[in-house]
Amino acid sequence: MLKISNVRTDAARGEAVVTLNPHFYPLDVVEATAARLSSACGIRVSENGAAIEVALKPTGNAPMDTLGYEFMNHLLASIKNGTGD
Amino acid sequence: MQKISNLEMDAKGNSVLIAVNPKIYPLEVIYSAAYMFLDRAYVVIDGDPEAEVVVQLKAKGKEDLEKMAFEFQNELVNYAVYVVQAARTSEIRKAIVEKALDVREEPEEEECEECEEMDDPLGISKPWTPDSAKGLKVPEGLNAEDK
Repeated sequence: MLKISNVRTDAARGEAVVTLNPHFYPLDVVEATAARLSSACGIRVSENGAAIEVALKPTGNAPMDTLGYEFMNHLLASIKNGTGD
Repeated sequence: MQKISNLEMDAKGNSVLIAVNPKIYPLEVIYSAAYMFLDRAYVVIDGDPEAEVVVQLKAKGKEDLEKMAFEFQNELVNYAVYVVQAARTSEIRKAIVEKALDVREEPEEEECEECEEMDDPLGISKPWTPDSAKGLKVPEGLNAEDK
């Protein structure tokens, strides 16, 4: 059975939390994408070696889970277009 | 008959999981195929880059998830063919660009070892200097300043 659960919401903190595999999403690309989107929402990036965790706090009324998935799409675009560094 | 089942639907979550063999489709191909779906779906890539890559496509609107999953696999084939063809024709493309820009490297001139050791009893190899030309008549048609 295939399993994947990278996007979750932390209602208590009012954040969307995205867990990333550094094999597919390099840290420098994640940081560059986070910096580009920092004006749209509050972003905190942390890393523990095995995974990269990105917490996104919406500034407006944007739904939290959608925000997480939107961030994932921005990451893929950054990787594909070479705009991550 | 052998069956391939690398899809898993999640109708409730409006998403589909697709398992991709990275030995058949390199990561570069998976990224390219996934990129094509950014306007229709949210894309998440996870799994083991050596054994099995899992791609999640979460539809943004009302989509036929199975159809979208098969379209993704068609894109995988499409980009895999593109990568293989690009590799095959890379030398030809390089040659065309070099020809167009004429940036071929000139072969280095081989140094003549004999030339350095050659005797020069008359001093022919010494540069001709203006001092040694004093008093000589300037040939007609030659400007004196050019001497």
